[in-house]
Amino acid sequence: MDVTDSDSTSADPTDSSRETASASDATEHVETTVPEDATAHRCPYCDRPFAIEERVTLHVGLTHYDVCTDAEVDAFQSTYTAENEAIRRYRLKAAAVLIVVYFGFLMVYAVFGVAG
Amino acid sequence: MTRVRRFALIVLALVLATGTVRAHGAALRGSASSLAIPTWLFLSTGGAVVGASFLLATFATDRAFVRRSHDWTRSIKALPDVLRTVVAPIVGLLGLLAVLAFGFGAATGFAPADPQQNLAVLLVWVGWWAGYVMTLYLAGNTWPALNPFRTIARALPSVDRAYPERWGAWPAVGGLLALVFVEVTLPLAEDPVMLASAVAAYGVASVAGAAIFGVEDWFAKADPVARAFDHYGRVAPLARGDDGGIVLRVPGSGLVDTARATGRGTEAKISGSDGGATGGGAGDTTARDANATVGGPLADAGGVPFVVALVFATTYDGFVATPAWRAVAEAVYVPAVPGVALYAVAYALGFLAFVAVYRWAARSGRETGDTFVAVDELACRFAPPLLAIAAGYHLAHYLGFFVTLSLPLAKALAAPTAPPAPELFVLPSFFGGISITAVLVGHLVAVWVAHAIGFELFPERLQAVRAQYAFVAVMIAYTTLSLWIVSQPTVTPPYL
Repeated sequence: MDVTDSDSTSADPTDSSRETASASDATEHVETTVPEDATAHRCPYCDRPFAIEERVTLHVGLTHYDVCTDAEVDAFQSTYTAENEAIRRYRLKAAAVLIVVYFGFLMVYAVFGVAG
Repeated sequence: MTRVRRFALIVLALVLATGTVRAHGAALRGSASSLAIPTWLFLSTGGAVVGASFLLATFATDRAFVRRSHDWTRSIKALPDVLRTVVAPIVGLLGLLAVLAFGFGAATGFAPADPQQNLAVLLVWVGWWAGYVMTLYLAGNTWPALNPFRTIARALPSVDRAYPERWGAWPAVGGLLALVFVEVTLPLAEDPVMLASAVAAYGVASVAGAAIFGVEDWFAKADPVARAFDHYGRVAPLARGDDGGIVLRVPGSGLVDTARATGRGTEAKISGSDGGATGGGAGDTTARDANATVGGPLADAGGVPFVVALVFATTYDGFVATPAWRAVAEAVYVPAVPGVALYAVAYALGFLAFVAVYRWAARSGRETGDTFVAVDELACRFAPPLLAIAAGYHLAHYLGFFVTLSLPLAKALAAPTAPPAPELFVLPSFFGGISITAVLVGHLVAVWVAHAIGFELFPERLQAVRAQYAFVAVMIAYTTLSLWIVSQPTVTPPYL
């Protein structure tokens, strides 16, 4: 069934630069469980599993910014910007829902609100 | 559009949405305003406000902006130590003494028996449970310094047994549920002697626990009142900083820190805990420095059920005073079984239902968020926003109560043995609107805090939004339930 995987900041003992990183040291411990049939993309610094490769890129840039390579920083920036397209689409849907809800309630109040 | 203008637009939209509900809510309370609407419309509007505020909050996708909204702090000059180490404990002890003296004194005629004149009843329910708790989430948690039982326990020797990890917060969960059940089923607000006995019993249990496990561990983990007050304090704008000074922060941002500190890695004992000098050590933990306070109270076993219990207790308290409960009780009642059993069964079922629903939300969040984060971790991280909701409900239920009874409290404080006949302030009609506003503001803060927590936990922003769908659904349902309770006429709970 599920494989309980408790990830910790397991620093590679041969790489001293990772051990002295302040942002990575303060990485909170996030408990994860990876189902047996799932593919997990893991963070190279803290081993936290993610379902999608892009999330590893984002995670490295957000959490391990002080120890990651320049290439990883570039990848992070382009992936972060690439999120904007999906966010824009989501915002349109959310705005549509808000407008429908607002005007829907307005109509309902017009019908059911009784001046007394 | 600049970030500031976008934020202002969001706030304006939220205010407009809130304003509409307030106007109609005030009408339901029989004030002179002009519009009357059916209850289902009132309830669905409340739910829609919470849902709409979630959608509006998700418009804020700038990570730096969201982080700034809860990271802002300012250090304030600390108050003189003598206030915390000497004055506050003395005030607490005097309060306890007054409650015991004038509570038991009602039996001998030393103090009046009328609950609206008796200082013990007024101090406990109006001064402490209503008024003082309001200061906890509006200003900050001062209970570790004021707690008279803590003061007594510190003066006594302690065996200092190790507090079992497995127990975690479960004693506090049981204690809180027991306290609220006792408060609902016994006339603790009418009988001063019974109240004083209950306070004494609780005090003995509290001091005994501290004598066995040590003051720090007991009041940080097992004592229900201390834990509840610590949780309320996390909503507040003031907190103790790691250097012992006072920190001013955005209200609710303490909840994001609480969520960040729930990582179940190394559990560090709270720094500066020498029990004796620092009266405020264990009660309030700010997680600004992650190295000092990893773990936090929500990481304890049973930490999340405690938060759910805090929320459930207010709901149950209001629910048993509704006509709907009276109808159910009358239909189910069997003369052979004592009425209390009915309440106990409803209590147990209700609490289990609340825990089950919250757990469902955490499981569903793992699905919709397409994440490997463990269900327990999700439940832990998204529990702090519930405290903002609990604070909002407390304010809604008790502000009017406190204002109305503040005059009898003042008169009883001035002349405890023979206070004049009680006069109550009459609340202006807009107080109903204040209650509803408090409920909604609690939910709005919860929505924003959950949004911030989602961004801290998940690297992809839309993933953070999607993971919250079930939590928002639960919040909408809970708003609807609570607004329904608040809109019902109050009847005496039957069979008690």
